[in-house]
Amino acid sequence: MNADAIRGHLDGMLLAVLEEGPLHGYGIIEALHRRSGGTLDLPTGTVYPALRRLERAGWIDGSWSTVGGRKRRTYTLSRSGRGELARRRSEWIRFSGVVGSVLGGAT
Amino acid sequence: MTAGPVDTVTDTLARSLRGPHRARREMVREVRDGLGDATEAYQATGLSPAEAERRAVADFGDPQQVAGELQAELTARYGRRTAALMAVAFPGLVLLWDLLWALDPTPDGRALEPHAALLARAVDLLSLAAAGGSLVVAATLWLGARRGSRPELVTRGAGLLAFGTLAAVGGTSVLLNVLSGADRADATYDSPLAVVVAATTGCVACWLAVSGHRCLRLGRPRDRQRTS
Repeated sequence: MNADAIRGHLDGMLLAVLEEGPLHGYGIIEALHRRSGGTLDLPTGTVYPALRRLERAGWIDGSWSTVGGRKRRTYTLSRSGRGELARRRSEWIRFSGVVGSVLGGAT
Repeated sequence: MTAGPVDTVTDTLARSLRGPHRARREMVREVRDGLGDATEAYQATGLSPAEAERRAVADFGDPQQVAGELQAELTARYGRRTAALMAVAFPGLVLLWDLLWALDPTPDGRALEPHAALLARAVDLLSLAAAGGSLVVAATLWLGARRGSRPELVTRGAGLLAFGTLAAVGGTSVLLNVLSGADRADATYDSPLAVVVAATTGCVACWLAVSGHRCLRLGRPRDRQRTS
């Protein structure tokens, strides 16, 4: 899947994978890959600045913690992040429904 | 010993990033950890260590582009830090000087001339306006993160606000001292408490000037940052 097409939805997808629980950078990249069935073709480097921006927005909280005996920067979805995820999710359902009904062809 | 692909990426990031040292170091470390995890994951699929590292770095994308995006976060962080400093420092200095005048209102027994009182009031108002402006800067950076807009211009605004306020408050204070006359100025700075307050003001002003200068530097357009 094209990276430019994904970029506009990256924030929502990052919030969605953090809904499952706290994850570190590579854990998030792995979760994106797994949940997309391996079809997301996004340069993994773009995830790190996006996480920092979401943290600045107050939607996620980042802190250093020990994961599997190693220190890792771990991110957690904040309360306002949950609200934002719910908003983006309902917007996406509405948008994909409209586009799908048009692109789906005449019935 | 030659640097591996992961070292090349992290060295590129470390060389490209500007801003608070600790934040820079943490960002580079986070990327290094992530690339290390990705390398291990590829190795677990049966790839050789060298090939696993090469694949992890290939997945990462262009390090210069990532550096540009991380730099935006460092720039925003510094702008927010400077805004927080201004929001506390400017009203803090007003309170400090008010406290000094409350403890020793007329060092030589004379009340302030009306024009001097007006200038003193102007210093207070400028300081409080700057504190208000810095809250606007912080809120704009926060909203910018939500909208995905670049923080350079706002951070530059924080630097201009710091320098503008320092110049305006400093100039008005100098004028206040000049118009009050040398005898009053001497009497004002006669007490040890006044010297401490003046020294504190000087230190805070220097801190604000350094922060403002860094904001202006970090807030420069990206192409000009690369060429300087």
